[in-house]
Amino acid sequence: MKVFIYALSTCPWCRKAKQFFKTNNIPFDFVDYDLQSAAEQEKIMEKMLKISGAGSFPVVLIGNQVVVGYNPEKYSEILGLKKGAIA
Amino acid sequence: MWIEASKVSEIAPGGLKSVEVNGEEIVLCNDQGTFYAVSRRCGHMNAPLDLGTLEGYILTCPMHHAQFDITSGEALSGTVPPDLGDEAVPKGLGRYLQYVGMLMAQIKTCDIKTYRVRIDQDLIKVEVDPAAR
Amino acid sequence: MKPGSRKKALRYFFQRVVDPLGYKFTPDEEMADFLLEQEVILEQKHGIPFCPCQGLTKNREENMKIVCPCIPFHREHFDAMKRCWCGLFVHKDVTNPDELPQIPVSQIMRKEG
Repeated sequence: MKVFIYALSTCPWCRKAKQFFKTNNIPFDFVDYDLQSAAEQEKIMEKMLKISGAGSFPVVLIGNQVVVGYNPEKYSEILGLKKGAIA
Repeated sequence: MWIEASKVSEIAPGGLKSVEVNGEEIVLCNDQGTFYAVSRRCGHMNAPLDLGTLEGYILTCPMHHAQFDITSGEALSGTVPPDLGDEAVPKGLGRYLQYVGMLMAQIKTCDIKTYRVRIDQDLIKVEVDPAAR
Repeated sequence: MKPGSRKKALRYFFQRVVDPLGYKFTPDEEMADFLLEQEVILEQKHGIPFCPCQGLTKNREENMKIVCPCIPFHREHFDAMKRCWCGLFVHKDVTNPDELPQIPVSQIMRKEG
């Protein structure tokens, strides 16, 4: 399943989300919203509001499922990882 | 030397009062009953700090909102960019604002001078250096 | 400005605001320090200490809703989680902040009907 993380460079929960996928050897793509140009930010925020309804980070896309916030249990559940996956 | 600057009864907790002592402009501050004295001149562009706001030990300048620790004089922040709104600005004014803005970007916010304070019954005394005039 | 002085000033201001709202700084000192550090950086960049975990847009009015402490603008959401979104503040009775997950606002508002 394809994983994409909408993140902020200043957000510790976004870091933890990225770390979760790294530790579990799951490849992922991400964008640090705050480090993008104003034009890019507008595009990204429009997308985020459509899929998550708010401007809160992180927003994690796993396949076609959306998880808002740092939620290792939910990530594991969607990915079908065994219980006790490293968070 | 110690010079009488004001009276305790004249400055309520949270209050600020500007006085001139030994030719120096000083602001007396009351942080919940404890008195401090700092330079009246903001460490950014010399605005009068007595017209600012005091929250506890933090004094905010009314002009560009730089903040200072009244116990040490330390600058706690730089300035806050103002919100000038969305309306179009007349060309001459716009050019002037851009020019001043460019100069202001070069101005640092420095720490401010503090003065020792002594309370003698109802009198607030401040220590100044006679040679500093 | 000494490092730490700005964090101390922010703590001083914020404490006075969140206390009557029923919140306190998270007992997770490391997290609090990290978040405050990010807010100092954001304040140096924008002049305002914004929430390190929410996105800024071109709309100034919207941005004002994520100036720390942003609790008053997200009261129902945060009260339901017993924490604010970035976790800098938690309800006064919270002893273990690790037990408080982030819950999307859509999930909470749905319950409210």
